[in-house]
Amino acid sequence: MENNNSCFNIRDLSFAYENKAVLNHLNLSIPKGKITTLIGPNGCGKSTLFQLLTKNLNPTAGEIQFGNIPLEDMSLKEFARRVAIVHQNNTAPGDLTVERLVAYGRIPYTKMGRSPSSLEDQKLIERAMKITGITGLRNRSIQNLSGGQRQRVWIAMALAQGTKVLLLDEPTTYLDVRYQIQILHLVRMLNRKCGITIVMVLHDMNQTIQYSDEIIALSSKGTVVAQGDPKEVVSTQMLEQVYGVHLDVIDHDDKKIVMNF
Amino acid sequence: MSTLRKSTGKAVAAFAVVMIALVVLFFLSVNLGSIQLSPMQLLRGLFVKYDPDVTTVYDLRFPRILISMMAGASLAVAGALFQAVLKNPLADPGLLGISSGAGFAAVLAASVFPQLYFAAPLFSFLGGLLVFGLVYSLAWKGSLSPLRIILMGIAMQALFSGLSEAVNSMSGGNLSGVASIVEGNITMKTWKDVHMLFGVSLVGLILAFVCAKWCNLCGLEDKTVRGLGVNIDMVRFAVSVTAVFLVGGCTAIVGPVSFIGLLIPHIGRMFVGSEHKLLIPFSALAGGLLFLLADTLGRTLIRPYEMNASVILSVVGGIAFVLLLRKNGGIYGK
Repeated sequence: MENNNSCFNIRDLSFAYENKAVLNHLNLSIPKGKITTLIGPNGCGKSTLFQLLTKNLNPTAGEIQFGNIPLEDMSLKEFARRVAIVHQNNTAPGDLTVERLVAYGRIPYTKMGRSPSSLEDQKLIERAMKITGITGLRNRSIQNLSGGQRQRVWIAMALAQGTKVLLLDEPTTYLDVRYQIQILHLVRMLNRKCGITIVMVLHDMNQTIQYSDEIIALSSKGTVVAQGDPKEVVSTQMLEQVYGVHLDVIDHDDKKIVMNF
Repeated sequence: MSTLRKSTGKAVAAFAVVMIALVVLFFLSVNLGSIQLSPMQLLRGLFVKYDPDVTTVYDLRFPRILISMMAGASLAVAGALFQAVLKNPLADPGLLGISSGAGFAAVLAASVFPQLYFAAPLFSFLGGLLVFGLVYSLAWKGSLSPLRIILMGIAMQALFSGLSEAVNSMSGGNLSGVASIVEGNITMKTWKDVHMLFGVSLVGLILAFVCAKWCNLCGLEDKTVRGLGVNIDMVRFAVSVTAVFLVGGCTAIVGPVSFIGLLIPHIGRMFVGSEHKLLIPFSALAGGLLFLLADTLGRTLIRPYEMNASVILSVVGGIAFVLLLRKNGGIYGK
């Protein structure tokens, strides 16, 4: 498991809230340069794992390494210069303009008291807005955007951090299917064109299969059921182990389709 | 299309109106009372040659006018800071109990160590910190619910204003320093008080302005801010202490005053938006204006009697806040 191709190495990781164990001795390696998706039933610890990966929670036991540096040895600022995060349920003051919010992505590079205004910063802000297709919205306020536009603004803010790794927690939740596809296309493009390692949490099985290079399936007991290329690991048995329901999986054009009804 | 330009224009207009109003009210207030002075006479008396009328006004009216403006500015800015860090549009130094705690500490100090009058702002700062710590820790249950904070604040307000009244009663009303803080009476303030408040307010307001960019970040989710490499808990602590410092300073001089810290930032957000680099200076100006207006009305409406500014603010503030709540979903509304 020790290799240079992994972005995160998770070793013997456990986490418990009060006395309720959520994750038990998890061992995982998340590959560099790929799109990795975490799936699992509600309450299986996906979100907990996400919070642990983003330094919002500290492990009860075990450790997470980024490259080969333990997360706990990295300051929040160092981490923010290497890993960008788009959380769920983001909020911002309604009258904040798009450009200002995207510019917050440069905060990890500010020295005490200096605001992000250098040319380099401005270039990255422009680039982030261009990639996500929101340049035309730059002077609009957040409250006047649709859900899909808003999500692209949050992704732009993360891109402005200029990291090689992007974590997304359920980036398509609360969006209609048109925006879901838009966001997932954007995510794929960020991976393929910009070489950004993506780690995300998704609920829709078919979108997971379609857009991921690698999936990690957690069971409701907080253990890893399967990890690997979705074309190979998704099966009726696997889904039954993960979600506890019987779902047919059919082959179609070299892809698998989960009949989720 | 460009909402940006429109909102900038609105902010500039709001600043201009408040500044002009403040200057006009200042001269009006200087002139209201038994002695009337024209602006020319005032300027000549102040800077050119001695004039007994100007000297009387200078010694009696100037201190309370300046104190009103500085206290209003401090309280309004403190309210803006509390609302930002607590993500709670209902936060106000008065409703959080900070003012009462600060007032109680000042009252206690004035009755036990009257010779230490010059350290009153320090005592009330410590009293404010104590109450803030209590509200925070007692309201904490894994997370800070805005409602629990407000309820705890109301409890603290009741407790500490009651204690202040008790100390006032025990001293038999013989200690005018104690009574003036408890009642929020600024009639007898002198230039000594002005100097004391000026130092504290200036430092507090500068610190508040430095906090502006942190206040902006508080508008995002905590986890998002942390993802940008910022220790949000430290930010919240630093901004809160600054706000308590502002409240402590002016409460030692003018007593506990509610609603100004609630109302002004609300009005400010309607005109200049939620950008704290604008909201904080706007709140300072508008807060000074409102407090001075209340004090001026208080000493002119029912002459020869006087009403304390805090009484007027309480009445006006209560009504205005109900109207605000009913009308405006605004920036915090979903």
